Formats: sequence, C-alpha cells, structure tokens
Amino acid sequence: MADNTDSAIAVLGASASGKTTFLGALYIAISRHNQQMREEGRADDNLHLVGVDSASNEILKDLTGQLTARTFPEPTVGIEEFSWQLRGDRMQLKPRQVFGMSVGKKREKVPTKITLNLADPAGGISKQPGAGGSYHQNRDFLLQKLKESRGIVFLFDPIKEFDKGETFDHTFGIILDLANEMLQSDDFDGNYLPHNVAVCISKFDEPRVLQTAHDADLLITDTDDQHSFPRVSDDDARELYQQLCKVSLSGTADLALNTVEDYFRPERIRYFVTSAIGFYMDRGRRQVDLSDYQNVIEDPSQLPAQQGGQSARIRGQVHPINVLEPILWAGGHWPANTGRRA
Amino acid sequence: MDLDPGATLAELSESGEERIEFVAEWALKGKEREDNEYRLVDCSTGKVSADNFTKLLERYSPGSLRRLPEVTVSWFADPTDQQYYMALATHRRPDPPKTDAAGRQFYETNFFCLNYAEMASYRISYTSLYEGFERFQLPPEDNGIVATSGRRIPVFLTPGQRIDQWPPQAVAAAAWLLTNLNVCILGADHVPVEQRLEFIEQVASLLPYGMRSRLSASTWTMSTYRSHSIRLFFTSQPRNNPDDRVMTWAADTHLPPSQRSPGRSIHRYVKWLQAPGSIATLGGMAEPRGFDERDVMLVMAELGLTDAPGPIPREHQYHGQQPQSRPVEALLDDLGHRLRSRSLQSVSDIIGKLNEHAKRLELLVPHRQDYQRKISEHILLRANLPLTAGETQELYIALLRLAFLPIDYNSYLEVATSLGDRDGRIIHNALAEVMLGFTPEELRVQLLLRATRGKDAPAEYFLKHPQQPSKLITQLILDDQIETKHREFLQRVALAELARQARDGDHDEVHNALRSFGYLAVAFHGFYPKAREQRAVLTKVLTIAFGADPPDDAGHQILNNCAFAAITPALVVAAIEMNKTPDASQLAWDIIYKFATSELTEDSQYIVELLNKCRPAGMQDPKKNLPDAKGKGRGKGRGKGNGKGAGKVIRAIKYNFRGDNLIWTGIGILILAAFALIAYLIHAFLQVGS
Repeated sequence: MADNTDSAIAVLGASASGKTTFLGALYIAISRHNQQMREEGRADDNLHLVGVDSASNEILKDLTGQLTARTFPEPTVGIEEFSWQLRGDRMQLKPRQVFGMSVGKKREKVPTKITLNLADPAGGISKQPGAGGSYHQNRDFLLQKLKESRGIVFLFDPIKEFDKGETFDHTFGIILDLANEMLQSDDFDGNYLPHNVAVCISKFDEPRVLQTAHDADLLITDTDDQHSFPRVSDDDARELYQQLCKVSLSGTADLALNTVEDYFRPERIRYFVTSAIGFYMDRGRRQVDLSDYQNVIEDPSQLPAQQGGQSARIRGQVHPINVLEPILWAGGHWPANTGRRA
Repeated sequence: MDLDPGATLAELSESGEERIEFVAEWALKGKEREDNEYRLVDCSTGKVSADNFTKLLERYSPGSLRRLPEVTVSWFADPTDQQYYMALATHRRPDPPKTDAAGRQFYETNFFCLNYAEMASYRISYTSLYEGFERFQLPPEDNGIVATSGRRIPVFLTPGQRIDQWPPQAVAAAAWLLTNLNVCILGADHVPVEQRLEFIEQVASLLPYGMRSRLSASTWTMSTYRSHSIRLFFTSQPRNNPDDRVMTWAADTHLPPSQRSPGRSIHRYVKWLQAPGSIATLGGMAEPRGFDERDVMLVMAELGLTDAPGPIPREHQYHGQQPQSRPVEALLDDLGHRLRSRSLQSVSDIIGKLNEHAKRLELLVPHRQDYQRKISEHILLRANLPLTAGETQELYIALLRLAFLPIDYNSYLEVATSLGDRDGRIIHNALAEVMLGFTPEELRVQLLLRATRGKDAPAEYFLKHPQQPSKLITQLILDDQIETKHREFLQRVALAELARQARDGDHDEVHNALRSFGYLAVAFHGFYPKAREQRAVLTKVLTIAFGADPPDDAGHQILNNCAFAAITPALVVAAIEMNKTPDASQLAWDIIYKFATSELTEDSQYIVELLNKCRPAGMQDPKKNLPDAKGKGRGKGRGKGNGKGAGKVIRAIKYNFRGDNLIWTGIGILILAAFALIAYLIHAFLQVGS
C-alpha cells in the first residue's frame, strides 16, 4: 500500500537559525541516503525529491545549487511557501506471518509519495510583537500556515542561543498565539495542540555544540556510517538540549523547551541533533578527521577588509545529518527504517 | 531651464530636458552588522511614521530577491489628510557589500514616497522617479525629507506618435489590469531591469494617470513568496493564484474575453487607445482611481465607452482631444507648473488670460468639472502662493469664475475638495474673503466662510442681518443637505442665535418656532446616534424654549406640544428632567393618551373614551391641551406624513415594549415553552409505555 498523503510542515526558528539552509539540504540528504543504500546493497530503498509546481521546483534547484556551490542561502524575507514531493520506495520492517502467526520481521518495500507543503518564514515573524522585524500581516499568515500544518520543525540554534538567547522569544509567543487560535476553533487534541513536533538542535558541526555533547558523554559513532561522523542518538538529543540550555545567554532556552512540551502531546515530540551541512571531510579521505572537521569558514574575499564584517561560506562537501528524519517525523511518516542518517 | 511663457503643456512635455525637483519622505530597510533580520534601519522624520514605513515595506515586499537591482512602485493613502502617495523602492546591494551578524550578505531597500497630487500635476513617470532616486544614498546627513532632481519625463506620447508603435503586450497587460486581476509576466529573466521598468511604465501609461495612485508593480518578485500584494509583476514561475493573469514575455497578447463584464467595455477601450492623442488624454485623467469594477466603469464613462453612453454629459467626455485644443486647461497646467517651479516671470500674464476666459465663459462654463480637476491637481486655490496679494486675489477670482460660480453650498464643497480637504474645514481666510465678494445667497455659506474671520464673526453677521427663528431652524439645523462635517458648527451657531433672540428679543416667537418643529427632537434623533448626545442638545433647545427657570409643568407642556410620532425617547427623558415634581405619572399618562389619540391607533375615539373613564384622579385631561401644531420633524423616518405604515407600527411596538414589558414578555414565553416541553415529555413517555 502506498504511503500517499499530503503533509503540511512549517519550519520555525530564530533569525539565522538555519531554517532555509535546513530545507536546502533536504535534497542532498536524500541523495546521500540513496547513495548509502546502494552501497549497502539496498538499492530498493530510495527516495526522490521534486517540486510539485514550477515555483517549488525552482526554489529546490536554487537552494540546492547554493549549497553545492558552497554558499549559504540569503536571509528570507516574509514567508516563502513551496511544495515538494518525496517519492520512492522505503524498506520497512513488518511482521512475518507464518500460519497466521507473527514470526520475526521481514523487510517490505513500501511505495511512498509524500507531499510536503513547506512554509519557510523569516525568523522575525515568529518573534513577539514589538520586538522589531517584519511582523504585521505575515504573522497572521504564519499562524494560518501553522494551523494548517500537520507538523512543525523547531530549529534550536545553540550558537545563537549562546550569543543572543532568543529561542524563547521565538517559540513562546507563536505557540501561545497558535494555541489561542486553535482553542477558539476547537482544534485542540485533548489538552494539546495536534501537531507532530520535531525539535532540531541545529549546527551540530559547530565546535561549541560538539564540545558540549562530548563533555556530556553523548557522542557516539555509528558503526554503519562509512564516514564515521560523530552523532548524538535521538534518544539523547533532549539531554543535549538541556545541557545547552545551561549555557544559554538569556537563560530562557529551557522555558522554550517547557513551552513545547506543555503544549504538544509528549508522544508526538521528538528531538534530533542536526547539521544541515555536516562535518568537513577532505576529498582524499573516507572518514572525518576530528582534528579538522569544521565545514564553515570565513571568507574575507567576499567583503572589503574595511567593512569588518565576516562573510561565511561552506568549506567542503555537504553531508547533512538528521535532515530527512525530522521532516518525516513532522509529516507523520516516521519510517521504521530509513537508515540512521540521511 | 527658462521656459517659453507661451509654451503649451504638450510642448513642455516634448522638451524632455526639463529638470524637476522631487521631494520625498524615505525609509531604508536592511540590516546593521549586528542584525540577523531585515528591519527598518532608518527613516525620515516627516508625516509618515516609522511604523507605517515598516508596514508599507512589508506590504510591497517582493520577497527574497536573488538578483539585483530591482524596482518596486507602489502607493498608499494617508487617512489623516486623505492624500495619496506614490512610492518607489529600489532594491540593491550596498556598495561596498555588507554582511549581517550571521555572515550573510544582504541587500537594502531604499523606499521613497511622494505626494501623489504633486506628481500628478507634472505627470511624473516611474522612469523619471527611478532616474531621480536610483543612486540616492540613504540615509541622508540629517533625517529630514530628501530632495533630489531628475529629468521630467512625461508619461504620455507626443501627439505625433501612435499607440501601435508600443508593444502589444503592454496593451494586453493594461486591459487585464482593468479587469481587476493581477498581471504576472513570466519569461523575462534575461531582460534588463531598466527594460522591465520601461514595460511597467508603458502599461501604466495605457491607463489613466489617476490609477498610478493605486498601482503597485515590481520588476521582480520571488515566485515562492506567494502572498505578495503586487498587482503587476515579473517573476520566474506562476504562484497559482486565481487572481493572477499569467502572461509570457513578448508572446502573450490575448485580451480579456469580451463576453465577460467589463470585457466589452475594455475591448472598446483598447480600440479607443489606437486613436491619436489617446495616451495624452489618459495622462490628463489624474483623479485618483482604483482598479475595482466601479472605478473602471467610471473611467469608461468618462471616456464615453460604456454600454449606455447616453447619460454621460458631453463635458465629461474626452473624445481624444488634445490638450492644446483646450486653452484654459493648458493655461491651468502651465500656471501650476510655473508656481511649482517658481518660474514666475509670466504668471501675471497667464492669470490675465484666465480672467479673460473666465469673463467670456462665465455664463457657459462648458468644462467646469475639467477645470475643477485641473485646479485641484495643481492646488491652485491654496494659500501662500508665491504671488503678490493682488495677483493672488486676481487668480482666485479667475478660478472661481471659471469653475465654481455661483458660490453656493455645493460650490463651497467643491472648492474645499479642490484644496484636498475632505473635511471642508480649511477654506483659508484669503480665499473665503474672495468667495464672500461674490455675495453668496445661502445663509450657511455666509456663515461657513465668515467662520475664517474668528469665532465672533457669525454673531456679528446676525447683528447686521437679523434672521427669523424659523429660517435659522430650517436652513441651519433641519436641512438634510448639510454635510455632517458642517452640521455641528451650523447647529451651534443657530442655537446661539436662537438663545440670543429668546433672551434679548421676542421669546415667544422663538418658543413657538421650536414648538412647531417638535423641539427638533426627531431631527436630533436622526443626527445623533447616541442617546446621551441627543439629550444634551435637546436640553439646550428646551432651555432656550422655556428659559432658565421653566414652569412647573414644563414636561407636560413639552409632551403635549408634540405629536406622538414626534416624541422620541430622548425627548421623554428631557421632559422628565425638566419636570420639577418627582412624580412622572402625569407624563406617563400623557404618553399613553398621545398614543391612543395618534394616527397609529384605529378607532381612537373609542379608546379615548375608555381612557377618560379610567383616568386616575388628579390626571389632567390631555385633550384640553392637545397641540395646535403637530410635530414637524424632518429627521430620519419619523414624523412625516400620516400613514399607518409598518414602520410606524414597528416603532410603536418598539417604544411601547421596552424595559419591564420586555422582561414580562420574555418570562411569559419561557413559561409557555416550559409547558410545551412538559407536554412533549408526557407524550413521549406515554408512547414508550404503549
């Protein structure tokens, strides 16, 4: 039976938390996933990402093109909307039936067609009123999009939290407004909002995040991973979030976590430690060198020296970590087995 | 540039070399180095607030632009002064480039807004604005309003050129805009921004200039930014919006289907565009217009292109005439331009010519509305013209003769509108004095114009020109034609004069006049939606009628002096308040008796007999005090005629079923409903049992 549904997903996060980059990395994530499946002899498990309409296809090409050209997307203005379709076959573990009895499990190919209606708002829109940035009609529009969404991907940027501490500002107000709107229309699911929520701790490739995970003894290396990228298990992702909350500049990042857990059904919240661009890996090597893994570098050539600003660019190939999984979770299509990374 | 004083508007436009000063309020959207998010970085400290700039920049945002520079034109209306503004936004990378806190490069939007009326007076094109502001560096040194200059590029073709030399797609785009759809142009990714802006200019020039007061257009919008509010835009992919007409660059020239309204008129319009001088005519139609069906039909009517052209007065039709065939309009345009640019050498000659025309045309006024439009566009009746007092007075006289005589209340409103004042309160003293020189006959116009002399001016006028109380009431208070914005002033003046007459003159005459109009209760009921306001003004009227020390039975007199239909709730309250005794039973009896004897009640004689039989002791027989004058209220819906219509019956029910009555009625209904429910339950129980 084909998994054939539409899933509207909204991506929320503070300004410059990497929302657009995260979405831009989705195509690459799927491509790397398919590559790994083929290398593991599971070519049947493959997915494709296409734009549903020409505008969506264009943004898919544009964002992917920017990342492969090793530049970051420019900041979003307003709310960009696009629809991408995830098609292909996924191998899922299903109970093996013998004489009407379940005996172990078997891999079964499940045709998949998932339409992702994505809303990528500028960070300022989710911020609370009066805090600056564009706010007015886009806020209402974003709320409408959130109401229509099946899932929400919250991007928690620990680096911004170290420096500015804005996560709470960007989650509290919008969730409260959403709860208020949905309460009035009786769209509450019991005492909770009905969405699937993927909380993504982004920028895992940043040294301070990696160091925090290391210090908390949460780092693992997936033995199935041919590049041996460090990872944090999804089960430990919440623990990492809590560790990172301790170094939040405002000290309110834990309140953002509380807000999410207060308003959404616990079994529909899942935590992921993600990196849209992944770790740097020298082309000549097969495995990551943890003494030289940073994939973001400053690029002074982009700006005249007297400006004093820092223009960032991507250093090497993009190897997204946990980009496909949150999207599938938020869309209600959490697979039994899509591979540990994408 | 020195201008030839005899040059016509078309000749001035043809020169194309003339420079003009643009005065604009501005805003800069972008980022500082520590910002992550786009925001309003700075703005001028003029009339447009930072908050409004933020909203405008958001409303007309084209999304996250990837390729720069791009240009967006837009508009907004300032509700405080009822003025329209045109805006131009240029989106470009800062030079040298900058990055935000996240190390991302960004672009800046320089937003300039200009008064539409001023732009319209010169028929300023978007191209001209772009040239003027393209390289303007924001923010300026101070945060004031910026001024720059650019070539004055007219929007309309010179008479020799023909519309068929324009791209047919521009004609098609203009036609689709007239159907109130957005127009989305695809396939122009390779076309330079200047050429796309020129296309927008051409499309706008194929519409009346006044539509620029509501046109938004952008040389690019991001295809995934689907919620933008831009009416004419280039983009790479359609956004699947049913309100968008998607066209392919240089290929699609389809017009709206003629079967669909207003398609037939639009086909006529496109045909009319082929006529020589059509674009010049459109350039002259500067009255602000939108794109909804009503405004489009107005445009069609002005051009004589509606299905039923018969009722359109000839002077409203353009017929493709050239500006130079209309010497007065050309003179008005010329004068407006010279006053604006302060090229004053030949202004007195132009004023003289206008006066000559005015004397010749005074009785005919063939193009009165066209002249008014021109006067309005150039705001020629404004105060503080750069002229001597004598020249100013002479100009006012000429313009009033050309477009506004005779001076009556309607022309007073037209003059106020030409000054851009929808409130009608700012006809300035110099102009008001000239208007008074034409000796307006209407009392209200005399008073409105004299108001500019000071608050005592109306009283001084009444001393020299005494007025009958009934005339004061009918002309200054009860006249339905008085605009709401003038009503308060005229009513205040009238009541002050009535009070003076009651105090210093014949009190009875004033009282009789007020009584004969039912103490104006019905009129005030229509004018004032709030009961408190009604009562306040009614109390003033009753104080004038009965004096500061009213008789003991003042309330009784008030109710008896009015027909039942002229008794409003506010009048009842005022009557009770006037009553010196706390017992209001006599007043209640009066009202019941009024109702019984009113035209609302059939067989009233029988009811009156019944009432008289059961009249409580001490109650006066109202029949003895029935008014000799019925209420003559002229307010909304009450007191007119003698019909027994449903409206009056409903009002009677409304006034008689209030307060406690309603409560008791409600309780009765509830009891009946309870009985019905019990009966139903018993019935259901019996059915189950059987």
